[in-house]
Amino acid sequence: MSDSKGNCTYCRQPLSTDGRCLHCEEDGHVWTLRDWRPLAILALIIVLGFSFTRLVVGHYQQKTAALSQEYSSAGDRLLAAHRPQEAVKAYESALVYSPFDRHVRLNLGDALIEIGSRNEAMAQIRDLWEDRPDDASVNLKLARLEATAKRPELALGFYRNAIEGRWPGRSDSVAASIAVRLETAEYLITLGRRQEAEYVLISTEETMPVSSDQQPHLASLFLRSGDAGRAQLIYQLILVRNQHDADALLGAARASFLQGNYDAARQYLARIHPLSAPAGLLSVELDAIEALDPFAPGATPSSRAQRTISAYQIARHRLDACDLTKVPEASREAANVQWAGLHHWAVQLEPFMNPHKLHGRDDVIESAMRFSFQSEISASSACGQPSADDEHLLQLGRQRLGAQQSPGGE
Amino acid sequence: MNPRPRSGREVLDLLATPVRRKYFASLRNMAGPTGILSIREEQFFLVLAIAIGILAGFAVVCFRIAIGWARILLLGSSAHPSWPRVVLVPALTGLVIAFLALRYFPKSRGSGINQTKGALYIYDGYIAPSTVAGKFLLSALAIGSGQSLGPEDPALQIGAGLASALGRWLKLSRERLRLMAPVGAAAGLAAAFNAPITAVLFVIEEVIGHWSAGILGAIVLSAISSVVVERWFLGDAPLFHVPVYHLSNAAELLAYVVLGLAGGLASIIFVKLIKSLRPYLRRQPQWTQYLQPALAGSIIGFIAIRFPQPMGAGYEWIDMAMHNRFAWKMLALFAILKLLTTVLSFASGTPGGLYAPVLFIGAMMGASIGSYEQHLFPYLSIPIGAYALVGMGALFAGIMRAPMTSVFMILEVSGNYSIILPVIISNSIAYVISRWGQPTPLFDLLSRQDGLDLPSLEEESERTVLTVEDAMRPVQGRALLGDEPLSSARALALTSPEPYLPVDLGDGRWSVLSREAIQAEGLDDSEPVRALVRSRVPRLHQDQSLEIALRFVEDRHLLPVVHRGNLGMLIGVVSLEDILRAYRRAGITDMHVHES
Repeated sequence: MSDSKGNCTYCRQPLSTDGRCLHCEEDGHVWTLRDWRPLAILALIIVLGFSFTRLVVGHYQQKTAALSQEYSSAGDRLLAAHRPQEAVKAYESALVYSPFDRHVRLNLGDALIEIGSRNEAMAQIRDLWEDRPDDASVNLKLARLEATAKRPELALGFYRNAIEGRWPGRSDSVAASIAVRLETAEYLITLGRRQEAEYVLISTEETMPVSSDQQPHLASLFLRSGDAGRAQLIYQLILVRNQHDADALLGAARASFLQGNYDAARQYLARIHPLSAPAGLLSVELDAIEALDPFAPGATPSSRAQRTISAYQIARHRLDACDLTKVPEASREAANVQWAGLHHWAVQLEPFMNPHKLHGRDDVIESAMRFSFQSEISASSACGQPSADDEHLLQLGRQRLGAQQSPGGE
Repeated sequence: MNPRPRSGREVLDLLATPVRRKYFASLRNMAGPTGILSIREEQFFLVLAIAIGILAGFAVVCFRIAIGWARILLLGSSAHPSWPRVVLVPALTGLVIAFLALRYFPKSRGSGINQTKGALYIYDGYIAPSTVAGKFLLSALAIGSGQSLGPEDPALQIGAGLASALGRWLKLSRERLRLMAPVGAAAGLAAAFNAPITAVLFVIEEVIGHWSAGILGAIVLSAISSVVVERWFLGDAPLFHVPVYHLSNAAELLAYVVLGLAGGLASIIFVKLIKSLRPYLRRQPQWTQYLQPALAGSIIGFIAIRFPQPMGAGYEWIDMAMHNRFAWKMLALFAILKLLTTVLSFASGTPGGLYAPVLFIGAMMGASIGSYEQHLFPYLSIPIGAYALVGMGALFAGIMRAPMTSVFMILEVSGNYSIILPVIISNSIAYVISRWGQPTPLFDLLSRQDGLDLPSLEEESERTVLTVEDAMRPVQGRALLGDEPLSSARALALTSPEPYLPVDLGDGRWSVLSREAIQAEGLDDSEPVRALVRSRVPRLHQDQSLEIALRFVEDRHLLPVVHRGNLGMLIGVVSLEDILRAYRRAGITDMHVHES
């Protein structure tokens, strides 16, 4: 407590002979502890206070954790029993004791959706999202809510977050992420954004294990997005593992059908025993399309003529029934020109439309079928809902014209 | 203990006085011939502040747990208690509270902030243990049973009471004991609100009512240590989950102006209701005092059957409001109901605080205005959470009249610096309107209703602070130089009207000589003026307080006022007469202000 000159460090006054600073002690600058008891008692009080508080807090937290668990379980039970109103109350009680419980808040969101309080559910899950913006489950719930609320851009944003997010507490996070990708693709298909859906599906295919039980779903989505080729490949892989898989056989048949490979489609359908209702429908569809296709293998000259006449009549009817006033103003003039051309073509073909005149006239058959396809394709964008026959003819036309136009076509 | 009441001014002076007294005489008396440890008193006080913070932290954690237990035991564990329970529990608990408060804990009624302030300025830092125990028990019962009050003010008083008890156990001197109360108060509030900066500022603005550097360190340390304890036991989850906010368009600030106006008006209504209802209820016969908390409780209960939001502190509802969970009409209704129920609970004498209810009303009001503005102007992209936050700050500034605390509280709670501009705008407007509509701040009003006259920071800031500049006058002629010959000094003295002349001795040292001393014979004309100088005089600067000048002038005839950048440059002089004249002038002005 003294400096080099023997003065007090604090007040610079000379120290007494026994080294004490009388000035400081008199004026109270320095507090000298000569009895350890007050500090020891203070320390003891703090230790006792800590132990008591720990005991109290521990007991309370145990109680609140038990209450939270109790209400959460009750909520789960009620939700499972389709009593969402009571489940909401139970979950709200659980949140009093654990306000940041992810499970409770997610389930409360579900219960609120069930009772029709979508906005409240959205707010509840949004709160959770603010705490956990990278939680895939939370993002997925929000995506579904936004999709239901018809806000596709927001929904897709949350779907993307869910794809890239984390799955806390789940060991099957890869499978969960793949499931979200598939759901996203399905949503895109429902929005009519097939190309974007196809991108999502292609990236999903890369990450999905070959043995995944979600492969059939992936293939069916490829089919719905219009990529029948990829769907076909996936179905074939499934059939390698289990050649009697009825769903895969039906999927492969449909993929073949969409690619215009009707023979292959029939072969796949033939392997389904017993024939399921969807397979039966596809079979009927195949028959209907074949009934319009003069170039199908095995067609006799008379049946070729008959099929050509049928296709011509269907297309002609579609053309005559079309109301061009419903075509948007901007493209109406072009449509009128196109229609005039098609009518002219129809009039030219009309004299040949009987079995005798078509006999041996492959050039006319070819022209009549091109007219039919072209008419159906033009009408599909301008003339409203097609009939089943129109659809079959359109399907055939797309397949035939597409094959002719594509460099790799038959 | 029979303390001598002191005036607020006296205590303020004591707080500002450097630590030079025998604070720990009694402890030293216990000492033997050799010391175990010698530390400066200030350092010991800081160590003590940490201990106070820790102990207050324990107490407040237990207090919060007690509120939680009371809620579970009284209203049940469900978030949706049955309606008979909602009506009966606050009423019956109100009866018990009134009985205990009137019979056993009379000082536990009312605001803990005022009582702590009273302890600091009137009772030498003494807070009775029974008051602390009563506050703990009755506030926990009141808040747990759904009375519309908050835990912060009681926590503040619990902290102050613990610190007071510790100070008395350590046999600290009166002066030091007085300082213990605000140190404990800061610790209590910090642990209750989980915000140390807010607690420090609030205690300075509302409890001490004076910026005192001498105690700031101890308050900060106690607040931080109590928050550490609180977070250790209860976790560091914030009271509210504040949404992200960015000021994207300067035009948004206009929206906050509206919030400031509404906050100012709401605060006037709130204070005026308390101002009239509290004394009215107190004037009623003694037996009705036993029924008043029960009546308040039953009214709250009936409201809570349909709208449970006004019950208790209501932080969970604030959080929901911040996340846009209610329509604007509902938010406005919640604000009105909370305002009425809080006034009822508080005026009925139920122990509990106003801090949380004020934040609740502010948040609901802000969110309501925000939702309505968004409805009117959909292009405004301000999140509702930002409106709620700023509303909280505006009402706090208007009612509590603690502008610094209101700004820093929002910053601390939100952790978002972007919100500072809206907060300052709204709070300033609310503060100005509140001062216009209700000149006496709420806590001053409450203390006056209780028959006490306690100082406040607002009052302090309104006082005219005189500086040397107000009293000084220019020198007639010039200052003498220490080295100039006496001949020229004598010539100057002959012509100067001043009876005393300042002498510049160089190196910033000054003296004053009388004309007679200069003219006196005995020294040769060639001798320097310095030869006449017997003592130096302190120099002053024009920005210094006139109180300092008064202290220095003593029996000196004149003091030089010099430039801070050039200590040899004389700006003016000041004498005792000049100082007194300045005080007289200011006294007349102050009187005019006071009368007006």
